[in-house]
Amino acid sequence: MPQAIVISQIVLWILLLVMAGIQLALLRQIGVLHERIAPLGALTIDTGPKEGAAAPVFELSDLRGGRVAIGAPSERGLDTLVFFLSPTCPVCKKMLPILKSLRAAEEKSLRIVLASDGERDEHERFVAAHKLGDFPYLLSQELGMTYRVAKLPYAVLIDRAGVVRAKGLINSREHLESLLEAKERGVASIQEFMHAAHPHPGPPSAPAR
Amino acid sequence: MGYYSPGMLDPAIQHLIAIALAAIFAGSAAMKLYDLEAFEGAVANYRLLPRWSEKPAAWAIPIFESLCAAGILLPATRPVAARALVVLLGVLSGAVAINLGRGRRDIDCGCFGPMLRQKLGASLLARNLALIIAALLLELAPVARGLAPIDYVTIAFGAATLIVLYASANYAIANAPRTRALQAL
Repeated sequence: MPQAIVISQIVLWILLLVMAGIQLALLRQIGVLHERIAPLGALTIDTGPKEGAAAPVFELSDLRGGRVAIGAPSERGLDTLVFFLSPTCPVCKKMLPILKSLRAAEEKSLRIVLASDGERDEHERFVAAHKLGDFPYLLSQELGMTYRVAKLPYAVLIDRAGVVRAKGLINSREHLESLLEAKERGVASIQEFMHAAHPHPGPPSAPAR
Repeated sequence: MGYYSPGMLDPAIQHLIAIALAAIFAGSAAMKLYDLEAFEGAVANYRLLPRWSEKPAAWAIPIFESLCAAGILLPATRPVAARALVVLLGVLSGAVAINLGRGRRDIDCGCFGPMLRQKLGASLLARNLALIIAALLLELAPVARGLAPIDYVTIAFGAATLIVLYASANYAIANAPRTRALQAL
């Protein structure tokens, strides 16, 4: 009898360990699924100035003291991409080279403005460390609040006439390009484009808010 | 069971907990040391330390963790190492609680370096509380009894199961905010 209990004990331990292992594998797979179903286009957070609406006009001074107008019709005929970032956000750092290459590619039609808030010297160190000296760099809590920026990095595309054309949470080059694509196709966001392409039954979503 | 008296614990259970805790903290130290730069960023995000001390702190935390992990394995240093772990967990939980109080839920815990991202939340505090209780159990005096062969089975499988369950709990904690975000859509 004692021997039978010892055997049963060992068998139970082995089975328990196997079960715990399977549970670990399942929970990891749930994590992987979350990664896969994350939105492919830049996710719009549906608050703040709407796409198609006139952008609120800001006249702000950048880190080096120059005046930067956001939202007013552009005198030079450039669209404006306002990119909200923070020195402490790792994904923002990943986006910096992408922003630089986007600026080089779209020099004739796009102006890129970086925006953040917080301690001035922290941002000056960030600009120096990542060689962002030739980007206009704004520190304005009001700008972020107006566009209801809740998560970083976040971007808003304003066209040359001062109309908000697209906006969203940016985690990759694809997200950034989806904003420009959204503007070219005349849709407010990749989500709206997907909805238009695959209309689904149910009440129209636009007047819901 | 006459041999149990308050303030004492069975040695098999203590060995089991000690091995599991040692593996847990050696693992988390290794993951932080693997990408110290990312961990330094996580330390900075807590916004509790002056800037000059962020780099030394990012070094000190995983080194302290690995010393505790080693100390806990030897019965002689076990109570001291366990007390050191309780202090470390208390300090780290305090840092999490302060940032929860500030509303900074979206920063990365940094607990496992870049291997697993967890946002701050009450579940992290509950997890740390469980670790603190486990460490406190190691400060109890072991009951004087010899270990039978079956005890080694208990210790080995029990420790392995605890480690796997701990990893599972951490994946569940990491997944929770993303599941909530999906529910909110």
